[in-house]
This record gives sequence, C-alpha cells and structure tokens, in this order.
Amino acid sequence: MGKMNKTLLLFLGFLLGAVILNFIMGGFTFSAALLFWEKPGRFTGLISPYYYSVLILLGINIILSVSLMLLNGLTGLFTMGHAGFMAIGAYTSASVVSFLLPDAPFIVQLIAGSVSAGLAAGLIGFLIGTSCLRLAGDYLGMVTLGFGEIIRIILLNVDAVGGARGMTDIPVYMNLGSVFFLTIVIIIVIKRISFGRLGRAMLAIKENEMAANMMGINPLNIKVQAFVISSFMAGIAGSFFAHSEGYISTQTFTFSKSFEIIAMNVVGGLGSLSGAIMGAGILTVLPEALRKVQDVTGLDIRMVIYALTMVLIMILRPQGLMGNKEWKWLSSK
Amino acid sequence: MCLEFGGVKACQDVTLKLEPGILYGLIGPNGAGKSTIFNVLTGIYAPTHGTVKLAGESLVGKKPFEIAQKGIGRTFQNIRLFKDLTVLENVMTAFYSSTHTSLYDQVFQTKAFYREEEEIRVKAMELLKVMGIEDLADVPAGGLPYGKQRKLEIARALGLEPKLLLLDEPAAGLNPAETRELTNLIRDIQRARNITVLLIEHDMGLVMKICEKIYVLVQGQLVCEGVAEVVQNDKRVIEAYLGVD
Repeated sequence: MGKMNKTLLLFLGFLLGAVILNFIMGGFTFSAALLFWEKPGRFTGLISPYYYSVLILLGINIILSVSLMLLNGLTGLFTMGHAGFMAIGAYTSASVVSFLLPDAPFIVQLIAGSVSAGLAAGLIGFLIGTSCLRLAGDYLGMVTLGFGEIIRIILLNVDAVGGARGMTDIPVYMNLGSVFFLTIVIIIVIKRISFGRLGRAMLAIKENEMAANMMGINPLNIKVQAFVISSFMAGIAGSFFAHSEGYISTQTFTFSKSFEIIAMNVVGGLGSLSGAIMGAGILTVLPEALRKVQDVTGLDIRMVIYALTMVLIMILRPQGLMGNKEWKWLSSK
Repeated sequence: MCLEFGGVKACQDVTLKLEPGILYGLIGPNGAGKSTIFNVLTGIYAPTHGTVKLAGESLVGKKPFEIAQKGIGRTFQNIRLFKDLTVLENVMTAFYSSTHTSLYDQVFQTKAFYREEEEIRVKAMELLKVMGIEDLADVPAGGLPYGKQRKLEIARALGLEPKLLLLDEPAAGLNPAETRELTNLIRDIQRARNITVLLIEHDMGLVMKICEKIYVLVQGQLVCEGVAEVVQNDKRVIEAYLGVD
C-alpha cells in the first residue's frame, strides 16, 4: 500500500513538474492550450523555439540511449539497429495520428501515437528477438545492422508514407512537458527493471550465460523480453521525434543514427544508466553548442571538435564517463 | 550413457546410479571425461546413446536451464561467477526460477515485489552464513579471493535448492587449510540438507575422507566403483594413476 502510493505520488509529482516546466519554457498561451487538450497555441516561451526543440531532442535521445542500455549494458546484447525500431515507431505513430486522428485533441493523439508506436516496434522487436537471438556477439550486431537497413529501405519504398520524399504535415503536438514526463517515466522503469528479478537475470546472462543457464534462467526468454522492452521504448522515442519535427524521412534513420545511440552509451559508460543519460546529454548538446563556435570563428570545425571530443573521452576514460557507477538517485531501489 | 565427439569417444557405457542423500566422488586422471559427464548430466551436451534420469524422469533433450530447474545444481572447474554482481546478488540469481514477481510488480514495486525480494534476500544471506562469507555480501564477486569465490559458487548452487549437487573440483587452487575447511563444510551441508552430492576432485585426501562411494573413470570408461578402501586397492586404479612397470 505504502509503496504503491509512493509510485503514484512520484507519478503525479513528475506530471505536475512537466506542466510547470512547459509553462515556464513554452509560455502561457502555448501551454494553456495543451492543458485544455487542444493543439499548442502561439509560442511565447521563456526560451527561443530553437532551444525548446533542442531540449525536446535531448529527451528523445535520452529515451533512445537508456533503451539501448537495457540491451547493451544490462543484457549484453550488442545490437546496431536501434534506429530501425525508432523508424518503425515514428512512421507508425505519424500514420496513425495523421490518417486516423488528425483532429483529435492533443492528449488523445499523444496516447494513440505513443502506444501504437511502442506496440509496433515492440512486435517487430519480438520477431527479431525470437529469430536472431541464437546468434551471439558480433553476429547479432551484424544481423541487427542489416535489419535496421531493411526497415529503412522498405519505408523508403512505401508511397503511402511519402517514400523518398518523406512524410510531411504530421501533426506537431509534442511539447517539452510531455517529453520530460515520459523520459523520466522511462528512466524510472528501466531503473526498476535493473534492480529486480528480471534485471539480475539480465546481468547474469551478460556476465556468464552458461552459469545463468545453471541457475535455471532461460536465456532466450530473458533476451526476448529485453529486446521487446527496449524496442518498445525506442518506438516511443520515434513517435516523439515524428510529432516534434512534423516531418520525417528515411534519411534520419540510417545506421549512423544507430551508431550515434551506441556512442551515447559508450561515452557515458556501457552498463551504466546514469552514463547512458549523460552520454545522450553530451552528444545532443555538444553539436548544437558548437554551432556558436562555428558562427564566431566562421570556420566549419563543428564536426572536427565533436569528433575530437569523443576521441579524447575514449582515450582518457576508456570505460566511459561514468564507468560502471550510477548517480546516487539511480543507485538504489 | 555414452558421448562421442566425431570419432572420439569421450565416455563409453558409463553408468552412474546415484542414491538420494549420499555423497559420491568421481575421480580419474586428467582427460578421463569427468567434467564431460557433468556436462551431460546438466544438459550442456546431449548423450549420443543412453539416458540421463532424475528420479525416474528422463532429462535427455531437456535444455540446461530446465534441468537446473528440476534440481541439479553445479559449480564449475574454472569458476563462473557473475563478477560485477555483488556476492549477495550472485546467490539471489539462483532464486530466479522459484520466484514469480512479474514485470508489472517490478515496475510498480508492488507489495509482492518487496515481499519476494526480502524473502530471497534472507534466504541468500542464510546460504552465505552457511559458507561463512556473509560479511562480504555487498562486495562485487569478482573481487573476492579465490577460496571465497569457490565457496560463493557452492552457495549459489545451493540457492537452487537442488536434489543433486555437482561439484567440479571444489578444492582446486585452495591451500591445505582451506581444503580441510571446505571438506568439512561440504559434508556438513550434504548431511544437513540431505542432498545427493557428486564431486570431482583430484585431492585424494578430501575424496577418501568424505565420499561414501567413489567412481573411478579412466579414458571415458568406468573402471572401478566402491568405498574408499576398495578403490584404493584396485589394481586398475593404481595402474591408471601410477602407470605399469
């Protein structure tokens, strides 16, 4: 009872925090419209729409990074097709909302979009999981890389979702409050998974699959669960992305996006939830912050500095910024 | 029970009949196929011919984790702990199949989740106490000294509440004092829990002291079985270990 209340209280607290955050960052007219379940109104926020969209992107990247951490860091499955799950989520959600619910209130679109995106990506994750998980190590990486590309190329050739032109005029309803709220929820869900029975089983498989077998743990079952949960979350991130940009094309979901998500995990420290969040933070904010450098110097050195920073981090802290550690608020039940 | 790899017969017509509640020893020179027998018993290899039965139920074709759930626990010759997990968490993983909290319980941290976590934490602590390593509960398992790692592996296997416990060279790499301590510990545990134990060991002092019945395996074949005195005086066993003039 007490614990259940704590979860509910936490939930309501973050919801309230999200609404307040949106009022501060997005401005009154913009946020009030959302509260009354309408589409966002005119943007009159504290920060410019550009920073506002960077913060949304940050939330999306954190979701992608922590969901990959569940596979890579906890279960030890090296996958390179996370952008594929994101693409499935983005296209499913965009189709559901713009074809079926174009005029629905914001909250209906948000729920329908996210849930359909998560379910679609989770289903594909399940199919991939059951068919490929007998593969181990690098082989699984190769297969998932191929899978990500297959998804992208299929979407590229479906005219109903725009084909090579991409999908335009997707209802833009995503706002900082919703992203903030759902990012926190997903972080907490992963944290709670990692500390319980399932998390221990995942770690056991990562550390020594043979010994996990001898403990009566069915590795295939746990791996499929990890795959489904992770792809579900990546799908949700895709949905957020589609409805914050208003435009998606297959160019976004190439394997370089998958590698970017892996890089977030590696920079932060493989196997650390805090690291996954921190890595997403750095790899989202750094390229944007470097635009200023480019403006000031007039030199196109943004990507050079970005790459150098990553190389330096890997030389100075090969185990990632957090290593195996967690921030305090993430390190206990 | 037979197992062949290509043309190599790793073990031939080996029949082990293990009665409940008895401590068995399995000895033999290097490469005799002792660990292979463990791997067949735990489902890692399928026997080429013959059967493996636990309490009358055939285990052939069952997956390793299913066999573990049926009550065969084991340790490994080259220790296989979950190194980054703490000592306590290592033992707690063994309760995976006997606990039932769902993903829902875990995410919403329901009463059932806390009750079950606490239950297995207490049980795991008890096992650590039995092995005398309870003060190291929160240390990562990889950081333990070798002897303690061996003990932890036994504690973890006991977490399965096995009917049959397979110990693969539990005393390998231990000094004489540690070996003596472990010897008594194995016997005490076996008696207290009334489980069947089959242990592979090269330390003959340990084997002769605690094993009630000993099987001798040479080049994949069983050459002798019996109590310590019988085995010690068997001509073929002496031949296998010392060679023939």
